[in-house]
Amino acid sequence: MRLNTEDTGNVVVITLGEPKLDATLSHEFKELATAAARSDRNIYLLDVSSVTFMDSSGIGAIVGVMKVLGRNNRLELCGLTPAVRKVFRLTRMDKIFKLHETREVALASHPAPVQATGT
Amino acid sequence: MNHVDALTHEHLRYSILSSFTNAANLAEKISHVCTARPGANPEDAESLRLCLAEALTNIVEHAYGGMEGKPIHADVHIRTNSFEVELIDEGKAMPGGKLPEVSVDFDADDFESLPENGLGWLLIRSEMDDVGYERRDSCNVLRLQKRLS
Repeated sequence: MRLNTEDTGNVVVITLGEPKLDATLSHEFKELATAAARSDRNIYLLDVSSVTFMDSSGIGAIVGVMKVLGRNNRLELCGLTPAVRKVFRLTRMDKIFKLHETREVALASHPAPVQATGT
Repeated sequence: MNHVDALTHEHLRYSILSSFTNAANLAEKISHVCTARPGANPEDAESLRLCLAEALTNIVEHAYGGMEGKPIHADVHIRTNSFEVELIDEGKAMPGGKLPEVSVDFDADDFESLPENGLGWLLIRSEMDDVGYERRDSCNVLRLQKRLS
């Protein structure tokens, strides 16, 4: 499975380089993504722009990764293709995850923290 | 309309041995075959592939308890205004002998209540126009029908 991890400074971007995330890949995905999520960062962005097919196993695996991350961390997604967005909508997971149009938009919403200058 | 429909009825049968990979491939193949005809809507192909993937994965996982190498048959009926697929397996019957209730009660604020399983039936019920289940000659027969847009 092609899964690339990149630390941008305050966000860890996990890019899934597969055309699908279904029952054939969901276990491996959960394992690899969970390992990739073991860092000091609190915000994780899953880039699924290459995924044109996702079923409930794929959604379940993403929910599983989020549970492992716990309450103190965030898992957001970007680059959902229309078919994947539809599955998120039908399962109401679009209410749970913050979904960004693109990686650029997602990263822009999490600017690196500015050092406090005091008052 | 029914008269025309009957004239253009095409019936195909596929058989696979249970595995997640074979299930995924069969779902993709049937959706391609059904929507290869001129005028077919790509969205119908997506819906069909998704629901077949969900249903076939359930057969491998639940009816056969994850066992590989067990028979699964798919009877595909392509009509002018609908696709109908009957999936037949020799595994365990559905609990209570009926289709599972669809419930996705979760509290968006309650982390642990979020479902990791059971969303497949929600997708099937949302995307198919008719879903039926029966036990026939010690087999499970699941019928999925999609009317064409």
